[in-house]
Amino acid sequence: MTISLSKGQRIDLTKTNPGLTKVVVGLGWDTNKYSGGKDFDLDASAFLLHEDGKAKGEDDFVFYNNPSGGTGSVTHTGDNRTGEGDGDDEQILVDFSKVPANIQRIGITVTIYDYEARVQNFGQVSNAFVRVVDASSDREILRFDLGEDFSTETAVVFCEFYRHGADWKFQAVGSGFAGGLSALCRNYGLDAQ
Amino acid sequence: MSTQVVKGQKADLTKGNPGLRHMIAEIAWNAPSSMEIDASAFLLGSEGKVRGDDDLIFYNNPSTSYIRYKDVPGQASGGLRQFEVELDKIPPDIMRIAFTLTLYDGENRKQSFGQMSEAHCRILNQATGSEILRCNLESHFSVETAVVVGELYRYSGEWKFSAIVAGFDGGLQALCSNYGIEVSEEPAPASPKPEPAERQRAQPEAPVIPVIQPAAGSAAPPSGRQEISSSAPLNLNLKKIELKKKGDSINLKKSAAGLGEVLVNLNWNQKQGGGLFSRKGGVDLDLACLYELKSGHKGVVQALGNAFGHFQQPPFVMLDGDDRTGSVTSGENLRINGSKVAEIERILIFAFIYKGVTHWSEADGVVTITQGGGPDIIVHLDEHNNRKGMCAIAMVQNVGNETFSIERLVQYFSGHREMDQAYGWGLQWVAGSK
Repeated sequence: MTISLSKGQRIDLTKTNPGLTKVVVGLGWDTNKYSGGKDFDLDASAFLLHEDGKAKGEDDFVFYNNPSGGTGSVTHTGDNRTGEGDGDDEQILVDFSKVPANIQRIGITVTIYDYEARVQNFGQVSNAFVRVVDASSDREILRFDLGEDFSTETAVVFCEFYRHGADWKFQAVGSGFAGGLSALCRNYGLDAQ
Repeated sequence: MSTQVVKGQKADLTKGNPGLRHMIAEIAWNAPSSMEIDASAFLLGSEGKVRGDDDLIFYNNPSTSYIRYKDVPGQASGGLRQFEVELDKIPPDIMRIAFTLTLYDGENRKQSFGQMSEAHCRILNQATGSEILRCNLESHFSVETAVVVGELYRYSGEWKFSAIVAGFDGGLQALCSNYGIEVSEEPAPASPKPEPAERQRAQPEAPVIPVIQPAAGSAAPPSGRQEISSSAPLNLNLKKIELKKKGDSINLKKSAAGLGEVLVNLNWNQKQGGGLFSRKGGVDLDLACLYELKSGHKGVVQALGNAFGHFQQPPFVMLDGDDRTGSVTSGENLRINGSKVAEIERILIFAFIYKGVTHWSEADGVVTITQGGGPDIIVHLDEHNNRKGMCAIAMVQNVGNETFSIERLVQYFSGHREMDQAYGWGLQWVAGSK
C-alpha cells in the first residue's frame, strides 16, 4: 500500500522494504492550458551530494543534458517537453546498491525551463507529485503530493534520499526557490551558466 | 500595505487581514473604443465548475446574496468594473470565484486582448478603501479574447487570490466551457425558445413558458450589446424549465374555468440519514406564507402556532400537512384558492428550517408550484445562506383580479421579522412553537 507523505516528513525506505535496491522516482504535474501562453517545459534533475551537502562535478548532476550520474547509479529516462499525459511526466531511476559511497544525499528537483522569457512560475503548476516505485515489482512505495504552496518559485526541491547508517531514507521536502535550475545548482555547489 | 503580484502568483487575502469581510475585486483597462469588453465572475464549486447558470455574475445577472457586479462609469477610454464580495456570506460549497474579461465578437472583428493596455486588477478592502493587492495585466496577452484575470479561492480556511492572467482565444464560449457552462451556438430545436413578454400577453391561450428573461426594470444592456445580452444567458443550456434568475416573473395561465387551486409543494433531500426525503433527523423544513388580502387583512399561514389557514374562507390559503390530494407523496403543501384571486392582494411563500442545523445546502430544497393546465414552476433553493434559517421563495401577486404573477425571490433572512421588514408586510412577531 502506498504511503502518502506530507511536507517535511521522513520515512525509511530500504529498512522497511528489505531487498529494495532499484527505485523509479516518478514526478508529475499539471500545467494550466491557456491560449497564447507559452508551453511549459518542466525538467527533473537529481543532485548527488557529498558529506558537505554539495555536488562536486558533472557526475553528481543528472539532468536533461547529462542523463546518467553517480557512476551510472542515477539515470534520467528522458525529457518530456510538454508534460502531457497522465501519470509520471518524468522519471529518474536510482539504484541504491550502486550509489558511490561518498554520496550521502540525492536531491530530486523540478525546474521550469526558460521561465523568464515565458513568464512562468510554479504558481501555474498544479497537482505536482513525486512517487517512489520499486523497480523490481512496479509497486508504488510512497507518494508525496506537493499541494499548492508554490507561487513565484521557478525551482522546487521535491524530495531527498539520504543515507542513514546502512539504509536509505526519504524526505518529502517541497521547498521552492526563485532563479530556476541555475539557482538550484548554486545552492548545491555547482557553477552553472 | 498593498502587495504587487505577478502572473501565476498566489497571495493571502484574509490571512494577515483578519478584519477583511467585504472586499472589492476591481478590473480596469484602456482599450480602443471599438473593443467591447465585459467583466464576469464565475462562482465555482469543488470541481472548478459552476453549479448552474446563476453562477455566472455579469451585467445581465449582476448579483447574488454575496457578490455584486458594478460598472463604474467615468472611464475616458476603457472600463472599470468592480465585484463586491462579502467573504463571510459565500456559501461553503463555493470554493473559488474567477474574475474574467471577455471580448465581444473578437474573432470576427479581428480583436484580441493584445490590444488592451494599462490593464490592472486590484483587491480592495471595502471597509477601509485600502488596496490589498494589485496585479498588472499588461503585455501578457496576445490572441486571447477571454481571459481569467484571477481567482479568489479557499485554502486552509482562508481566502487567497491567484493571479491567473491567462485566457483563451474562443471568447466567452471557451471560458464558459472551461468553467462547466455549456453554451450552444444555436438553441437546440427542442429547447423552449424565449418569447418576448409582450407576445405572451398578446396570446393568452399560448402556454406560458417560464424561461430566463431579464426582468422588466432590470438594468438595460449597454447599447450595441443587444446581441450578446439576449443570447449569452439564454443560450446556456437549461436542463429544466425553471424560474432561475432572481426577479423572474411569470403569470399563471388563465383558463375559462378560472385559476382553480394553486398547489405549492416544498420538497427536500435528506443527504444525511434515512435517504431521500426521509424526515428522520437532519433538517426539518417548514413551508409557510405571509398573506395580504384586498380587505387589508394580513397574516401568516404556518404550522408554527397552528396557523394553518383556510381554503374556502379568508385567507383562502391553507397549509395541507396531511396531503389530502394523494398526488404528492412527501414534503409540505400550501394550497391557494385561485377562485378567490380577486380577494387576495399578495402572498409571500417562504420556507424555514424549524429544527436541525441550519444547512440549506444539505436540504437541497425544491419548491414546485402547480396549477391546472399550466406548466409546473420550479424554484430551487440553491443560493444557500447557511447562516440564515429563513428563505423567501416566491411572491404571488394579484394581476387585474384575474390571475397571479409569481416572482422568484430566493432571499435568505434570519427570521420572520427581518423578512417581514424586507417586504414591508408590517406584522408583529413573537416567538412561538409547533
